[in-house]
Amino acid sequence: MSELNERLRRYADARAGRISDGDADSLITRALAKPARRPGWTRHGLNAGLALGIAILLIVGGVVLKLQLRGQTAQGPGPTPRPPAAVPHEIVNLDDPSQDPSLESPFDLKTGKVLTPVQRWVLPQSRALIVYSTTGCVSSTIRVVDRLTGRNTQPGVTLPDCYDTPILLPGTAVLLSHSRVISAQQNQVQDLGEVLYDWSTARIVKSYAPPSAGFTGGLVSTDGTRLYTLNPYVDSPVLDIMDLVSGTHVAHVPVNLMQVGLNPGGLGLSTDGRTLFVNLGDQLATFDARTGGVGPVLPFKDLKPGSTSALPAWLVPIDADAKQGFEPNHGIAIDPKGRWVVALGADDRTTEGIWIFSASGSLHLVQHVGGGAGFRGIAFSLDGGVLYALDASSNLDVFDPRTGRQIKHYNTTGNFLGIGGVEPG
Amino acid sequence: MDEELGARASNPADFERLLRANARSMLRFADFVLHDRSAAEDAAQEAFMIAYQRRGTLRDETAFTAWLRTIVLRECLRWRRRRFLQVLRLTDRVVAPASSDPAVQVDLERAVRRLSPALRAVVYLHYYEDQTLTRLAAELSIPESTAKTRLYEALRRLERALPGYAQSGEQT
Repeated sequence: MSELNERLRRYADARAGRISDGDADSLITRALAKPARRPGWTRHGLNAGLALGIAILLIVGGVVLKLQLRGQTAQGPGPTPRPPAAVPHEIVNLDDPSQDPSLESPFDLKTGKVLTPVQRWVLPQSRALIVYSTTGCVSSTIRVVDRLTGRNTQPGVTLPDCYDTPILLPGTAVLLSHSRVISAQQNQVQDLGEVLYDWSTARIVKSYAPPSAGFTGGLVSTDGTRLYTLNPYVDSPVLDIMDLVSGTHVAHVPVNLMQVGLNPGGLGLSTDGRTLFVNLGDQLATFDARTGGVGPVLPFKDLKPGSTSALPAWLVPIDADAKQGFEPNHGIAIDPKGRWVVALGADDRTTEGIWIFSASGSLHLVQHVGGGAGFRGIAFSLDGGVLYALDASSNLDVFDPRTGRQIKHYNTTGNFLGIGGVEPG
Repeated sequence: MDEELGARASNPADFERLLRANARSMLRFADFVLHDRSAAEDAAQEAFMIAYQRRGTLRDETAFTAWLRTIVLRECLRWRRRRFLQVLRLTDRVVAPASSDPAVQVDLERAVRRLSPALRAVVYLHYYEDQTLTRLAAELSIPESTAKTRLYEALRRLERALPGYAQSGEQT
């Protein structure tokens, strides 16, 4: 036991020792008494007043609606209402903390059921990558398996030290974080950076120095040349961009991540790979994905739908394949067709909910839905037609991004942390 | 503990028993996360009230502690945000030394205060409640890799802040 660990224990013990059962008990008594403080007649009076207010609002609303309809009829037929988007037959893969990290739980939208867990890191030809470490990280094993049967398709490889947080790159490369446990008891870990591992030849082909912000997973550009990382668990988070070809740091940009909420943050690339979107929890920041040049920042709460922000030329258009990543539980989603960027607000009354930005022309807010509800993950359907959102009760909602309207609600059985991905049903 | 009580969480009286059985642990947790006793009491009281109101949403009673822990942590973070918006500086508050040996603890307390609440939560569960990374990840509803990262960051920052612990390279 190291001295620091022992000091921390003593410190926590001493601090906790100042709180007695009586202190906690009185809090419970106060907390449970709070809702009942208001006398019954006040409650009834308030309810009656509220009912009267709602009735007046409905009558006034009806009159206004009637007048508007009359006006529209006089002007001729209006635009045909859009038909609601259909829920596609797709599988939404959910992160289940009770499962091995290499697995995710498929949720079948057609049947509304959670299926048997499948491998998360999918390789070409229906194969999957599995990376696991022994207790204490003495060694790690990397396997390439058949995704359905779990059988090895080539011999597994065991390496000394810890290798984890795989990020699959185009071709046969995977980026793995590399660390060494110096003393398990003392929680001493040496961060050795990242390695580029070629799973087809089972060899480490390149090593990189650790990003200065700390490696907590990241997002790789579609051409595999840039690594974007952002460590949200420090007081002064920094966005790092690394050139994976030369191993040099391209940019090191401080970002003002909202330090509230359970799962803020998230990185997403525009479909043309030129713009990096960073969900800061209370605003959507944009960067030049190649240089880290700072682009417009759109705060959530001060925006009203329709607010716009002029974008420099390098930010438009958005028209290629979508990419999303970083702690995919999962604060940001990019429409595969480049029409929308969606961010989950941090877990605070002023920002929570789903913020839908239109990326057609200038980036601007078009919808804020689900305010007052916590969400853990978002992802677009494969054609970008609908948006999936996992709520705090692990239920799955389907939204139409054009209107922000909820199309369908699925109750799931389980406790899920986020959406890992979407695939055809 | 939850199973031993054998309570039905949807029943108000049984739910209250569950709450009371976990209240001290949660208040201690809130106190460590916020490092401010009165703030912790505010946050915990709010969390208990919310938990009581939302008791019907608890589907798995064996997950009561994790469910309540998440609510308490959320209220702690909200409390901190509200105070931040009111431009109150928590670090200026005077808190009594937590140990009978203030000379030893003062540096550590200052260093722990500098950690973000999310990091303090992991430190508390690991060092005070002796929870494994797997268990504390489940309690905080975060992936195990995230828990590991947070503990790693917390220790690295503490070592850097405390005299005599800074090590060469990236060791923590």
